[in-house]
Amino acid sequence: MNERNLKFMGRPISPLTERRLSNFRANKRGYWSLWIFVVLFIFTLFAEFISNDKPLLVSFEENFYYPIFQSYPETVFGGDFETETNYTDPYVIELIEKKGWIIWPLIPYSYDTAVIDLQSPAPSPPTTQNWLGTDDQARDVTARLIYGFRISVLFGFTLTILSSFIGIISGAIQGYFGGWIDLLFQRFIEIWSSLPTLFLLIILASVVEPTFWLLLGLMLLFSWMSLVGVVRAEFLRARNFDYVRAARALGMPNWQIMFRHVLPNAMVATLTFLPFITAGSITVLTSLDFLGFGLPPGSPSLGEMLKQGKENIQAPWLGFTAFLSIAIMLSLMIFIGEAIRDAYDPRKQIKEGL
Amino acid sequence: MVNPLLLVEDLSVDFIVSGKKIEAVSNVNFQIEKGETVALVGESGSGKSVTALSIMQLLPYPSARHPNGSIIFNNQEVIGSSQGMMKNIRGNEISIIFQEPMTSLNPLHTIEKQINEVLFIHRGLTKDNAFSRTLELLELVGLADAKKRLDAYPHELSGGERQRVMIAMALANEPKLLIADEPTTALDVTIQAQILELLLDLQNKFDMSMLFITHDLGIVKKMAQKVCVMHKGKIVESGSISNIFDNPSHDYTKHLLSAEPSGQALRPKRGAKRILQARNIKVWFPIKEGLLKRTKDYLKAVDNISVEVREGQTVGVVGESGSGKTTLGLALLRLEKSEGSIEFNQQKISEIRTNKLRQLRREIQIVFQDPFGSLSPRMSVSQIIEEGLNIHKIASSSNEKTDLIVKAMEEVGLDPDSRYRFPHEFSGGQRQRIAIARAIVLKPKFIVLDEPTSALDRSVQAQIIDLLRNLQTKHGLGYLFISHDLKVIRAISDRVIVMRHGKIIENNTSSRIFENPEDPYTKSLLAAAFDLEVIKTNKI
Repeated sequence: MNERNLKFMGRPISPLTERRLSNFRANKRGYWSLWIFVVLFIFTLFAEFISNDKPLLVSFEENFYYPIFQSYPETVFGGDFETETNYTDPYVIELIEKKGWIIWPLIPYSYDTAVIDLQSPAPSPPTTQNWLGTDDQARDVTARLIYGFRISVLFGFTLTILSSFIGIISGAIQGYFGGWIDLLFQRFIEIWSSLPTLFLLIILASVVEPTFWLLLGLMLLFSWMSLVGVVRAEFLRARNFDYVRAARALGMPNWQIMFRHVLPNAMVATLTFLPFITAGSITVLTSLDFLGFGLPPGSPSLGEMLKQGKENIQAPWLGFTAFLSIAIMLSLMIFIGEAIRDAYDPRKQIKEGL
Repeated sequence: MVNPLLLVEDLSVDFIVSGKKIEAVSNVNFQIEKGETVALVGESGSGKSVTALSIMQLLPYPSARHPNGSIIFNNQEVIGSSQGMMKNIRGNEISIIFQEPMTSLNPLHTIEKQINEVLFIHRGLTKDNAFSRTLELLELVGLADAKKRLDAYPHELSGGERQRVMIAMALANEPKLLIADEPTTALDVTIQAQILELLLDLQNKFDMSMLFITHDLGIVKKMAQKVCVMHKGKIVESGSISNIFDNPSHDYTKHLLSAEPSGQALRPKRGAKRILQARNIKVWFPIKEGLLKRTKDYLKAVDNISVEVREGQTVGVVGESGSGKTTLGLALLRLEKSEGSIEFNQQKISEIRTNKLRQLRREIQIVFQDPFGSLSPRMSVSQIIEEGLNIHKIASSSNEKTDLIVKAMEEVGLDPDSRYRFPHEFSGGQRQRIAIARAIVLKPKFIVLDEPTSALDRSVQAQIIDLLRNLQTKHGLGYLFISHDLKVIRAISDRVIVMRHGKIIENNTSSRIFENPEDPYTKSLLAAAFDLEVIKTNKI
C-alpha cells in the first residue's frame, strides 16, 4: 500500500488526484501552455502599471504623488486648470520636471491615449516608441493589445464561471430529481437552444447601448446550456450509486447529497469542458466586437482591432497583431483543455503500462 | 508413456505496470490428462485466471511476460507460438467459458449468429450445415425451445440460459480441453447446480478434459479429480480430491477448508422488544403501455410481506436474484415507496414526514453488497464515517468526533491510524468493515444487511459474519440479513424468510427451515446449495 502522504500546495490529496496531476504534467504542451497563459494573464491584470498615460510616481517639490491611484488637479503642479492633470501634455511635463521628476510605466500610453507626436499620419507603423504601431485614431497598439487581452480573458472567465454555475445547478436538479422536472426542463432547453443566438444578440445590442455587464448578461442567457447535458447525465447515473443510497440512509438532506456525493463526479466532465467553453466565449465576444455590436466604442478589444485591420489594409501591423494574439490565446486555451482532458482520462494509464 | 494433454511447467507471469514489475504467477506446475478434470482453487487475486489465460495466450502482451516456463498442449509448445497456430488452438482445441455470461456474449447479435461464427471460422461450414449444427448444440446444452430461441438476443435470455449458450459456443468444435473460469459464480444456486450437472454430462459424452477454476470448494469436490490450491501466484498444494480434502498439509489449504462460515446464530433474549414490525408490505412497479401511458399491469416486486425483528435477533431473507429481497430491504428503510405499515420501536414510520424520518435514520442503518460502490472514492475513511455524525449533530467538538470514529473503527477491527486513507487502498473485506463502521458509529438499533458478504472471499466472509455477530451481542442489534447464500444465512440467522417472485414461500425458525423444509422450493434451494444437486420443482 501507498504509505507516503501525498500533498499538493500544502493540502493532502487523494492518490487519484495525484495521478491526475502527473497526467496533466505529462502533457508537456498543455503544461507549458498553462504557465504561459498564467504569466500573460497576471501580467495583463496589472495593465495599469505597465501601460498607462499617467506616471507611476511623481516627485514635485519634495512631495510624492501617485497619479494612478489619485487624481490631482493641474494646479498642484503649478498649472492653470482645476481639472485633472493631463500628464501627456508637454507643458505639464516641463512644469513638473523643473521641480522634480517623473517615473513612467513601461509603455507611457493607455488604451485610449491619442499619441500626439507621431512621425507619420495614423495609423503609423511600428517604431521604437510605438512597438506595434498605432491605429487609425493614433492610439498605441501595444497598449490596446494588453488591455484587450485582459478584457477578453476576464469576459471569457466570468461568462464561463457564471454559465457553468447555472448549468451545473440546472443539470443537477434535472438529473437528481428526474421525472417531470427533467422532462419539462429538457423540452424548455430544446426550444431555448434553437433560438438563433447571434442574431438575437445583434438585435438586442442595437436596441440598448452595450456595456461589459449587459453583454455578459445577454450571452449568459444562451451559454448556460452547454454544461446541462453532461451534468444531468452524470447525476442520473450517480443517483443510484450505493454510496448515494447509503448517504440517504444516513438521513442526509438531498441538497447535501447532491453537493457532497454526486457533484464531484460531475466536476470531472465540467472541468474538462471549461477551457473549451472559455475559448468559445472569447470567440463570441471577439466576433461581436468585429461586427461592431460588442463593447462600447473606444473600449480596448481584440475584435475591434481586427476590424481596424480589415479597414486599413495598408497598415498590416494592425491585422497581424490582432490575428496573432487571438490565435495564440485560443491555442493556449485549447492546449490547456487537452491536458485537462488527459488528466481526467482513466484510460491514460493503461496506454503506458498494463 | 503417453504424454498428458496439457503440461504446464514452471510457468511464471509478470505484468509491467507503469514501469513496475508485478509477479502474478510464479513457477506453476500442473498437468491434465485426457478426460480428466483439474480444479484450480484460490481466493481472488491468487492468479487462477491469469494461469488459465496464459494457456490460451490471451494475456495483454507485451505488458504481460512469461519470464520462464512452458505450456505444452498436445505435444506443442504454446508459449511463443505463432498467431496462426494459436488461432487454430483457440476455440477449436481449447475453449473457454467465462464467469460473466452478461458480458461475454455480444449483445448486438442473435445467439444463432454467435454460434455460427465459431463454426464458420474453424470448420468452414456452409450456412445450412451450420444452422443444423447450431440447433443440435443448443439442444445438447439443454436450452428449452431451442428452435424458437435461435433468433433471440442475449438480453432475452436469463443468466443460466446465457451460460448454456456460452457452453454451446465453447463446445461447437468439440474441443479437447475446456477451461471453465468460475462458470457458475454469477448464477443462482439452483441454476448453478443445473449448469454443473450439464458440464459433467457433456464431459462424459465428449471425453473432454476440463480445467475448472473456482473459489468454491463445494464445487471442486463435485466436479474435479485433482485439485491445485493457488495462493499468491503459487501452487501451494496439489493432489487428488480425497488427499486434499482429507489430509490437507499446507496451512493455506487448511485455512480454506475451515473457512466455511460457521457458528450458531444468536437467539434473542426472552421477551426481547420488538424493534421492527412490518405488515403487508407491497412494492408494485406499474407497467405502463400505450400512448397515454395507462397502467396496464404491475410488477409485484414485493407482494404482501410481513416481517418482524426483535432486539438482538437476525432475520435472514433468502431468495434467488429477482425475488424482491433487496426491494424489501429498501422499502423497510423507506428508501423505496411502499404500501403497508412499518412500525419501528412502536412508532409508525410508514407515514411520517421526511423531516421526522431523518431523525429516525440514525437508528436504522443499511450495509450494501458491493463494498466498492458503497463508499465514495473521493472521501477518506474518516470523512466517510464522520458524515453520519455531522448530519445528526452527534458530537459537539472535533475531538469528540475523532474519539467516536476511532472507537467505531476499533470495534470493526480496523486500524484507527488508517483513517486518513482512501477506500481504494483497502481490500474488499476491509471496505466492508468501513461500511459497517459507518453504520454503527451512529449506534443504530436495526441494520439492514443487503448481501454484505456476497462480494467477498469465503474466508473473509467468515470473518465478517463473526464481526457482525459480535456487534450484535454487544449492542443488541436487530438485523435483517438479505442473502442468496444459504450457508451464510444459516450461520447468522435466527429466523429465515424464503422469498420467491416477491412472495414469502416459507417463514420459520432457522433450524426448522434447514432441517425440515416444508415447501418443495425450499427443498430444492437447499439441495442445490449444500449438495449441488438438482431437484426438479414445478414452477409456481
